[in-house]
Amino acid sequence: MESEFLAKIVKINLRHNFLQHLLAAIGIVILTPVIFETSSLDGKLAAQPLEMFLCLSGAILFTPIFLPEQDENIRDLIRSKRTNYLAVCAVRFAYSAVVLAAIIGGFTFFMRACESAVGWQHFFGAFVTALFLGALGFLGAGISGNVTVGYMVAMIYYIANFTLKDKLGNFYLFSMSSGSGDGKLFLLAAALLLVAAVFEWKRVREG
Amino acid sequence: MDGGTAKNNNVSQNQIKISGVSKYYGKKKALSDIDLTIQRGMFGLLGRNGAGKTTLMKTLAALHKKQSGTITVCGIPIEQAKEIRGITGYLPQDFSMYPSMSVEESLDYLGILSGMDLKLRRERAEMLLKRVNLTEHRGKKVRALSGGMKRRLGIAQALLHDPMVLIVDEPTAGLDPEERIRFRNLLCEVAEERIVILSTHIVGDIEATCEDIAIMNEGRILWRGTVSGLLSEAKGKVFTININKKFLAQIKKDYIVTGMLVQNEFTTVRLISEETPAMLGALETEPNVEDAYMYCLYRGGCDLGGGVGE
Amino acid sequence: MKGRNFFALYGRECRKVFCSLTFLLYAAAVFAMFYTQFYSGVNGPEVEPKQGESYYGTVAREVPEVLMPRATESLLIEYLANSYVAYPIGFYKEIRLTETKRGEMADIICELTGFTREELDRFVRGIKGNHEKSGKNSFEIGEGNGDLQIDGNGFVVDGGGNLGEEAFSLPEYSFSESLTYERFRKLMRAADKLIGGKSKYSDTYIIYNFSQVPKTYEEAMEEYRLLIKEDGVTGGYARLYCDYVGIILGILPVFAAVSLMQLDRRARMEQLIYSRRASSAGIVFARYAALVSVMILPVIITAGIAQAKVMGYYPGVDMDLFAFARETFIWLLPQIMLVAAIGMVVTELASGLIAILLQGAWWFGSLFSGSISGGIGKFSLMLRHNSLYKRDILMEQYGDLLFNRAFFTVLAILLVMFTAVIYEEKRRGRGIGIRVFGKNCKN
Repeated sequence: MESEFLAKIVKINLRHNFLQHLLAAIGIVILTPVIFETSSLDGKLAAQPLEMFLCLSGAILFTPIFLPEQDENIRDLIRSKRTNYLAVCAVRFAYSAVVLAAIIGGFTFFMRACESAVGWQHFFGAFVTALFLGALGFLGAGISGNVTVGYMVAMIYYIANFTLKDKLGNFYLFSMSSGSGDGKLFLLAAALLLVAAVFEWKRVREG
Repeated sequence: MDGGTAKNNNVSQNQIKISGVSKYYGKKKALSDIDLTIQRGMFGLLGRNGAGKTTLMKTLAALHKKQSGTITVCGIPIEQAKEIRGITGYLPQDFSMYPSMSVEESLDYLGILSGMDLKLRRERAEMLLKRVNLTEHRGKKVRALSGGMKRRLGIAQALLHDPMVLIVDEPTAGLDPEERIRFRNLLCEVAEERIVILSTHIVGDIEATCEDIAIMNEGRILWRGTVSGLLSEAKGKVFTININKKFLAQIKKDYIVTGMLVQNEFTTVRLISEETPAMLGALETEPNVEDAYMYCLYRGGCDLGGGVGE
Repeated sequence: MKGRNFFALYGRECRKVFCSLTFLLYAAAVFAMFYTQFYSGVNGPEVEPKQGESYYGTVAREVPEVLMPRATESLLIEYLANSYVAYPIGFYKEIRLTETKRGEMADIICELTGFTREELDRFVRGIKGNHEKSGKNSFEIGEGNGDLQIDGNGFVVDGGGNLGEEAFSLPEYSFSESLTYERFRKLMRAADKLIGGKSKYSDTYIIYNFSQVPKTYEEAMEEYRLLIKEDGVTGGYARLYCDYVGIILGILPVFAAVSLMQLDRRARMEQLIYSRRASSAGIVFARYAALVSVMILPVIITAGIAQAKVMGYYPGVDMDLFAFARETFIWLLPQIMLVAAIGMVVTELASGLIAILLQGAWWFGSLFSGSISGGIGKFSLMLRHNSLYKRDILMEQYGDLLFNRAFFTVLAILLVMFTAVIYEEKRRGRGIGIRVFGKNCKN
C-alpha cells in the first residue's frame, strides 16, 4: 500500500517538478565533453571534467527539492495530507541521487570507453563531490525557503574552490585532480550530515 | 491625473460602460459578448466558480486584455491603462504582501506606487487603518496577520488612493461570520461615494449589500437587475414539502432542491418548480435570494446536476 | 512617475535589496574574495630592484632566436604524435587532426624543419613500428596542466595520445636558416588555425609559451618605475583589486536580481502592484537602480580598505589617490550593471533558473577562456589583469577596455528598458514571456 503510494508520488513528481532540472543537468553533461578533453586521459586529468564541471549537476538536482512547496499555502496543503511531507521530500532526494549516480556513472563509462584511466574511485569521487555541492544548495534553499539562495550558496562554494584551492583542506572539491582522493570520504560524511541537519531543521520548524 | 480630480457630475463619468466585450483564453471563451452598465453604489457580480467573474473584474482593472468590444470607466477608455489604474482600486481574490514589511510600510509602499505624496500617504493610511480597525496593528509584520486582518489590510490598500471605482474579488472568502458582516458593512459605507463592484459566489453577501446585481454563467451575463427584481421573478416557483426520506432521491432527480431539513419522521424539502408539484402538501413559499439565484440559473439552462449547487 | 515618487520608491527598493539574504551572501562573498585574495596577498611594499642581482624573474618577451626553435620543436613533437594540446575554454583539450589537415600540417613542418615529406613520413612510420614492438615503459605523469615536458633527447606527452606511453628520441633536424621571423609567425598562425585555435601556437599564447627569457635589471627597474611613477602606486593595486573582485561580480549579482524580481510573485503581491498607477518603467528602473547602488556598496567599502592598506605601505610616495575610485567605477560598476540587468530581463522573460544558468555559463566561459592577465577582449565579461605590473600591456588595450565597459553599460540600460516593456505587457495580461517549462515554473 505505502509503497504503491510512494511510487505514485514519485511518478507525479518526476513529471511535474523534476523534468526541467533534469534537462538542465543533462545540459551540463552535454557541455562537459565540449569544454574538457575526455579521451586518453591519465587519472588526474580524467578527474578534471568530473570534479570541476559535472559536479554542478548535483547543485542543479538537489537544490530545488523543496521548490514545489516554496509557496506557503501549497506547503500547508501538502503537509495536511496523510503522507508525511518530509517523506515526500526524502523520496525526491533519493531519486535525485539515483539520477545523479546514473549521470556520473554513465559519464565515467563514456570516459572509459574513450580510453581514459578512470575507475570506480573516479565515479565515487565525482558523485560525492556533486552530492556535497548539492547538499549545500539543499541547505541554502531549505533553510531560507528560497531556491535562488540555494543555488547561490552552492555557486559561492564552487567559486571558493577555484580561489582558495587546497586551503579548503578536506573540503576541497577538486582533490582528485590534484592527485589525492582522500578528502572524498570526508565530503561524503559532511554531505550526509548537512542533509540530515536540513531534514531535522524542517521537522522541528514545520513539523 | 489624481484620483479625485476626475470626479464630475456628468453621468457618463460616474459609470462603467461595457459593451460587446469578449475574451478568449486560447480557444476557450472566457467572456462572451458582455454588455453591462454599472452605476455608483454597490454592484454584485454573482456566479458559479469559473463563470468569468474574475476575468471580467481583471479586465475592468486593466489587468487583462479584452479581444473585442469597448469599456469605459468613468469616461476613460480601458486602453488608457495608466489613467484607469489611477482611478481604480483592486483587491484580488488571492493576495498577500511582503511578509517582512509592517502593515504601515506596506500601505506606504503601495501608496508610492499610486503616485501619492508623503503627506497624503500618511493621512490616508491613518484614516483607513482606523476605518478597517488595524490602527493598533500598524507596526505588525504582514506575516503575523490573521486571514481577516489581511483582508482588511487588503481593502485599506485598495482604498488608499481614494479611487472612483473599487473592484473586490471574492472578498469574504475565508472570513468568519463576524468578520464577514463587518466587512460587508464597510463596503456599503465605501459605496456611498463610488462604484463598488463585488464578486462572490456566496449569495448571502449579495443579499446583505447590493441592490444592483448581475448573474454570470459561462462567460455570459445571464441576468441583470435588482435583488427585488430577481426575487419577484422567482415568486410562485418555490415550494416546501414534507416527505418521507425514501422519496428524497426521486425528488432530487426531478426538482432543484435548494434546502433540506431532516427531521425524525420526515424531511422538509425546499424546491424550485415552474408549476406546483403534483404532490400532497406542497406549499408555495416566499423565495429568498438563494432560491431566486438557483431559479435564475435553472431558467438560464444551466446544468444544476440535481440538488444544491456549490 | 513623478521624480519625488521615483526616489521614494527607489529608497524602499534599496531597503528590500539591502535586507535580502541574497545581498547578504553577495556581500559576504565580495568580502571573502577581497580578504583571501587581495588583502592577505598584499603584505608589504614592492621592493625596488637592486643592480647586480643574478635573477629578476622571467618575462615573456618576443625573442625570435628563442621562440622559433622552441615552438618548432614542440610542433614537431605534437605532429609526430598527432596530438595537439589546446585550451579552447581554458581546460586541457587534446586535438587530433584528420588526414587532410595532417597533410597540411606536414607542409608547415617541412617548411619549418627542412625535412622532405618522405623523410617526415619515415619518422612517423618508424615511431609507429617502434610503438607496436615495445612494451609499456614506466612513465612519468605530467603535472596535469597539459604541458609537454622536454628533457634532453626524450620526452613525455601527458594526457596520453598515440605515443602516450612511449619515450622516443626526436629526429635530428636543422632549423631552416632562410626562414624569416615573419614567415615563421605566419606558419605558426596557420598551424594554430589547423588545430582549431587557442593552441600553444596562437598569437595569444605563443610568446608566453615559448619565449620566456630572464628579465634584465633594466626591465625590472622599468616595471617598478611604471608602478611607482606612471601608475602612482595605487593604479597597479587597483587593477589587481578589480581583477579579483570582478570574478565575483561576474556571477553573483544575478542572484540578487533574480530574487528581487521574484519577490512580488513569492509574496503574492503581483496583482496589487500591477493595479497601481505607477508606470512600469518607473517600477523597473527604481528596482534596477536599487540593485546596482546597493550592490556597489561592498565594492566601495573593500576598495576603500584596500586603498588605505596600500597607502600605509608607501609613506611619502606621491600617489594617485583616485585610482581605486576610477578603476572601480570604470571596471566594476558596468559589470554589476550588466549582470543585474541580465538577471532581471531573463527572469521576467523566462525564469530565474534560466537566468542563473545562462549567466553561469557565460561566467564560466569568460573565466576560463580568457588569459589571466592582459587578456582584454572587446566583449569579455570579466576583465582579467592578475598583476600589479604590466601597465604597458594594459594601456595598449585600454581602448578596448573602455569600449568593452561602455558597450556593456549601454547594453545593460537597453536590457532594463526591454524589461520594462515586458513588465508592462505582463501587467496588461498579455502572455508575453517564454515559459520554457510550463506555467508552474516558479523558481
